[in-house]
Amino acid sequence: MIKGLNMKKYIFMSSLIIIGFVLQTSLMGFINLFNVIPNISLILLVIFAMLTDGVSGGTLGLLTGILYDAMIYDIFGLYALIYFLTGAVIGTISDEMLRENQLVYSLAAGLSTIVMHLLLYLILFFLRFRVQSAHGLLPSILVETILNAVLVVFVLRFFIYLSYRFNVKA
Amino acid sequence: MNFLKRHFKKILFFLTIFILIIMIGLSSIGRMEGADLGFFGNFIAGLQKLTYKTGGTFTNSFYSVQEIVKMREENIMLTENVYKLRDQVRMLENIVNKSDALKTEYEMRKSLSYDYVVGQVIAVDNSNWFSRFTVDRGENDGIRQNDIVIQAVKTDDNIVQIGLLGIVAETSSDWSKIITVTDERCKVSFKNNANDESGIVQGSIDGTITGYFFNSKAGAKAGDSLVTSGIGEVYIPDIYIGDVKDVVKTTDASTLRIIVEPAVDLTKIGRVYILTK
Repeated sequence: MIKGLNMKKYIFMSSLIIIGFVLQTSLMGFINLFNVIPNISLILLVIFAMLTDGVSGGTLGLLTGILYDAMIYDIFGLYALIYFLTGAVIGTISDEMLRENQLVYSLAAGLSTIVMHLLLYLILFFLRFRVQSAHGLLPSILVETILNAVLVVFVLRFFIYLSYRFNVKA
Repeated sequence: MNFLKRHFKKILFFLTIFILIIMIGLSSIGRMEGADLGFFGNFIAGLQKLTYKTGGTFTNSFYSVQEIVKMREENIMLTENVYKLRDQVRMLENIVNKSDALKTEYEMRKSLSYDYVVGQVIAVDNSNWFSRFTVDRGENDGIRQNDIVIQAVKTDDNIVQIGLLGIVAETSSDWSKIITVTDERCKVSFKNNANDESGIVQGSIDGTITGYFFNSKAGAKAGDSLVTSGIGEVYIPDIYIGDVKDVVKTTDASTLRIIVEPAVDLTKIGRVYILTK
C-alpha cells in the first residue's frame, strides 16, 4: 500500500494514463482545434497529482514521460523529466490548494502547459537544437494552454464519474 | 541515518532528476539507445494501431460526405491534367529518344526498383516541438535504423514515389519510430533539379524546412524542385524532397538560404513505404 493512495486507485490511474497516452498519440491527431491538439496526458497527470501527493504525482509523471520517450521519441528521458517534475511539484503543493475548486485545476493545467513548453525550450537549448525559431510556436502554445485549462474541468468530471462507476475512491 | 530518513523524498526527487538528465545527455549523443518496452511496447503499439485506424476511418467518412460535391469538379480537373501530362510525356520521350545517353539513363531510371515494406502509421507526435510518427513495421519485417521512408503509390510494375517523408530513427521488433523531414534532427543532402547544385536541407522546431547550397555562388528560384543527392550514402538519390518556396539572403548576403515546401503533406499520412537497404 502506498501512503495516501490505495493500490486499486494507483492501478486505476496508471491505466488511465496509458489509455490517455494511446488516445493522445493516435486519435487526438484527428481532433484538432485551430491546428492545436490539447494534451490529454498532461491534463490527466495534473488531475491525478492534484488528488494525490508528490511521490504519487512524480511516479505517475515518470510513467507518462517514459511512455512518450520509449514509444515516440529518440531522446530518452526528455519527457520523463518534464512530466516527473510536473507531477511531483503539483502533487507536493496540492495539499495547500483547495481541491474542490475546479478553477484551481484549470490554473494548474494552464500553468503546467506553459512550464512544460518552457522546460522543453531549455532542454532543447542545452541539447543545441536551433531554438531561435521557437517564437513561432507561441500562438500554438497559447491556444493549447487555454484548451488544456478548459478541458481539465470536463476530464475531472469524467474521472470522478469513472471513479464512482469503478468504485475507486477519488 | 536520521538525515536519510528525514530527507528521503527530497533525495529521491533530486536523484531521479539527476539520472534523467544523464539519460537525456547520453541518448542525445547516441551513447544510449531508446528503451524497448518489449511485450508491453507491442501491446501499446497494437492499441495505437487500432485507435489510429478507427480515427482515420471516422475522419475519412466525415470528409467523404463533406467533399462529395467537390469530387465531380476535381474529377474533371484531374482528367484534363492527365491529358496534359500524357502530351508532356510524349514530347519528352521524343526528345529523350533522340539522344542515346539520355535514352540509356531514362531506361535505367525507369527500371529502378526498390525493396520496400508498406507500413501503417499508428501514432503521431503532436507536440509542437518535434515531427515524428510511429509505424507498425519493425525489425521482424526487415526494417533497420536509417531506412528511408517515402510516400508512394503502387502501380502494376513498381511503386511511384510521391515524396520523401523521413528516416527510421529507432526500431523495435514490431514497430519503428520515424523522424520526418520537417524535424530539427533530420538533415538531407539535396540536388536542385534546375541546375544540379547540391546542398543540405534541415527541418526546424517551427516545422519549416530550410537549406543552403555547398557552393555559395549557386542560385535557386521559387518553384525549383529538389531531390536527394545521395551524398553521405544515407538517402537513396533522386527521391523527391519538395519545391523551393522562397529564397532569402543570409545576413552576410554571400549565401542563399532556401525555404522548402515538402512534397508530402505531413498532416495527412496513413500508409508509408519504407525502402529497405
